[in-house]
Amino acid sequence: MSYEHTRVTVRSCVFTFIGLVVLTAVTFGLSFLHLGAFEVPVSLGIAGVKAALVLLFFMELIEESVSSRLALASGVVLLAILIAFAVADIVTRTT
Amino acid sequence: MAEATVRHQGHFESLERQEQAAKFGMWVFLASEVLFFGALFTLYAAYRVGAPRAFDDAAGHNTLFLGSTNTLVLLLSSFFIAVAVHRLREGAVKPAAILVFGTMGLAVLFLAIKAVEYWLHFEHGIFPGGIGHYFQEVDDVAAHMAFWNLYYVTTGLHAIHVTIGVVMLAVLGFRIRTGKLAPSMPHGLAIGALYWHIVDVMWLFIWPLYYLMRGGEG
Repeated sequence: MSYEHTRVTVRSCVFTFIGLVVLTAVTFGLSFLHLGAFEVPVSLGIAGVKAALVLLFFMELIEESVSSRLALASGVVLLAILIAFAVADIVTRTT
Repeated sequence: MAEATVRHQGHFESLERQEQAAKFGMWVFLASEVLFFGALFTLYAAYRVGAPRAFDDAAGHNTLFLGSTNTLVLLLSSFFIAVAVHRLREGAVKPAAILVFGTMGLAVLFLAIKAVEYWLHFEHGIFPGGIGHYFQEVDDVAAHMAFWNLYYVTTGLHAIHVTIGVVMLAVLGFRIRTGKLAPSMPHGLAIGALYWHIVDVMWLFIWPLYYLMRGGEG
């Protein structure tokens, strides 16, 4: 048998799935409201929480080695830098 | 039923190490996938800041209910394969195989719904490359073209990933059924599951960007 996976069980998968469905319903409902400037952070914020749930529990990142977590984190951090500077570029153009 | 070998490969000190190394390799690949799709998300962000109202308007013309159904389809598929990994570790081979084939079935359903969505877009005159009567009827043509071109490229790339996933899931399912992927070495399924989950995670961001951010007009 492979080594013990003690923190994530089928039960935690069930709760994670329920949480994901609830958050999906919440974002869907919120999309019908006039959120204005909050539209982007709310939709993407909830999407981020859902992604975190999938990563931590379905993908068992919560009990994964530091090297694996670092691999993913570096991808995410680099993407954040890419988006931040691309947007800053466009937004600060005067021409 | 033939059991896969339990012994770890010589250059690892234990099976646990071998499994960790295999997973690390997959996580490095997943990080590259994050950047791969991330480039398209970056383009979306860059074009959206220039024309947020046009992007809201364009998203309003998307097939919201079908896209949202697809979100639930993928979430359920991730749940199925996550449980399959646990079941295989416990030695419940047949349930694991059924769950993997169930995941595959949901993936095929996702592709079918996507195909219907594309057909509906074509019906509304929204084709890739800014072709179609829709683009003659909107105000900010350039922004609408940016939205829909990015939509087709991003969802097309995602659909290719789903298709690759379907093939992978079929192979994994058959290997479990025929005993080649045994409970003693379950990380083969776990690694395939990681790929499938990242495909789901990508959609979790595609869905709000292209379907939900409609400016709250209903």
